[in-house]
Amino acid sequence: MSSSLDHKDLFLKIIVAVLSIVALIPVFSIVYELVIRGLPVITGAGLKFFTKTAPAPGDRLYGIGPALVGTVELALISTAIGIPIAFFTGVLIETFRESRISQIVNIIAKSLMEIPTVLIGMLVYILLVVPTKTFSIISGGIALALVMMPYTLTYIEESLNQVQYKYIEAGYGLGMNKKQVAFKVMVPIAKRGVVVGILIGITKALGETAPLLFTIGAARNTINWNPLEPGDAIPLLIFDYIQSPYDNMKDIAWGSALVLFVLFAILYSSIRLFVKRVRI
Amino acid sequence: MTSTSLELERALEVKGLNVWLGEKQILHNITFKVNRGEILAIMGPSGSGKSTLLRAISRLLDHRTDARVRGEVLINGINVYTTNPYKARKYIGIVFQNPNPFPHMTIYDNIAVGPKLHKLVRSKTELDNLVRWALKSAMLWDDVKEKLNSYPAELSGGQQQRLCLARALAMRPKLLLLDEPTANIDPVNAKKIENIVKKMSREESVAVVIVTHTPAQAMRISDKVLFLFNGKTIEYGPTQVVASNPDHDLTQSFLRGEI
Repeated sequence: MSSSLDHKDLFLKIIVAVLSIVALIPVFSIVYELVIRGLPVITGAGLKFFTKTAPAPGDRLYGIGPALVGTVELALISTAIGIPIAFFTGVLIETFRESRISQIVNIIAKSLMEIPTVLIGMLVYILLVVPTKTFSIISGGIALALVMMPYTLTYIEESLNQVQYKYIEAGYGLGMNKKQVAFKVMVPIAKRGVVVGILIGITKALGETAPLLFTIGAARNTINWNPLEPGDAIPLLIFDYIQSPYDNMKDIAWGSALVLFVLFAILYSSIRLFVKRVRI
Repeated sequence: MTSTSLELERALEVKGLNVWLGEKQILHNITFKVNRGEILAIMGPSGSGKSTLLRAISRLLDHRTDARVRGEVLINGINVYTTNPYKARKYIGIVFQNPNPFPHMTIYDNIAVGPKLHKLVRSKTELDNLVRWALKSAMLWDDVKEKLNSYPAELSGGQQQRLCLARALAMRPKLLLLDEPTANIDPVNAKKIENIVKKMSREESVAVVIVTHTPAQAMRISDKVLFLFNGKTIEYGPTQVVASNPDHDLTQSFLRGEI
């Protein structure tokens, strides 16, 4: 009897092991390809890879400066707009869970997630780019803010929702009002989830190409620090260059992809390192 | 005793309290009084509405959308249902059934958060003294004086519950509401908590309402008991009288441990 159970156990373990390997294959192959194809490009070019402007077709193997600067600006702008809105909306929804208004806001905010990001790009194009008559980094930042908001909101709201009611009741028991319970009890207990939600929003926005297609203008001949003017972004550069018939541009696309991957890796590992889970 | 001093003596008065959760009526027409320095034990089997009663007194039911309350709750003569609930809770210390110290705050901050919130202290020294007093009153000072900056997760369940008691005491409450505070902890810590509660009542004239499902605990610490069954008051009176000569058959069976 026990031996048949043992067999079943072993069988399940094998299935789990095989499935885990299958799931890990794409991850490892992506990392492998990125390193094999991208690393030689970056090491070959050195610092110039990051600081110079776009190369001519068939020419040199470096020059993602405008895209790197644009990505940093986009990250800052979209974070500055999207994260506070997502954070306070999440706290409000969770604090006034029973109110009809917060339920409606919740549904509307989350339905943003279902809209294809290319449509968000088109919306910002019509509302901002056409009236101002120029592509700009800030238009791209606003489009990305709309993309990240529902993800961050959902994550923050879920992690606040997991704070056990006994702590919330303890807060009320001490005479805290709703705002104090939200910011002195719920948010600090769920801080790790809140920070992860913010970072998920940022990484989601940083990896997007579609919302930038009609908004920032893919200007890669000058490094542009002014967010009101056109600029470039790493995903957009990868999208354009990988389709190029010129080998140097394809190689730069691979190098840029590795840069993007490393940026993501740094963001994620910094959460694990610096934001400790609250011990219950 | 004159009538005015009687009013001052009366820390808590509940008059004709009815509570519904959804369609179901949980409490029926509950009436009782607790004076300063007096301990009332509310006893009854599980599901009799004891915890709901404490939450109705402290207006914690406000946070449940399906709860409806009718009747009067007077704390120091003020009807809590016609005043700001957050201010009313300033005079109440609450300890819940499951230890719930704030896990993200240090031991010190767990005690300090209430007094700081209600501006009960004017200086850091005053706050330090209050924290020390609360921890000493909860018989926890010797356990934690070396690790005030540690987190409650390092304490045992019984110590955590005494931390919650200290947190409530630091508010210098006029009224202490305890919801089966010893139900989930070891007998040694349970005994300590009973002694603390008695001491607070005698020495600080705090009025205490303690919910318990064990008759023995009610007999050990209370001056008065209220026996609740299916949300109705079955018996209410001085502990000695109810223990030695209960009026009702249900009370007798409860005291014998049959229900």
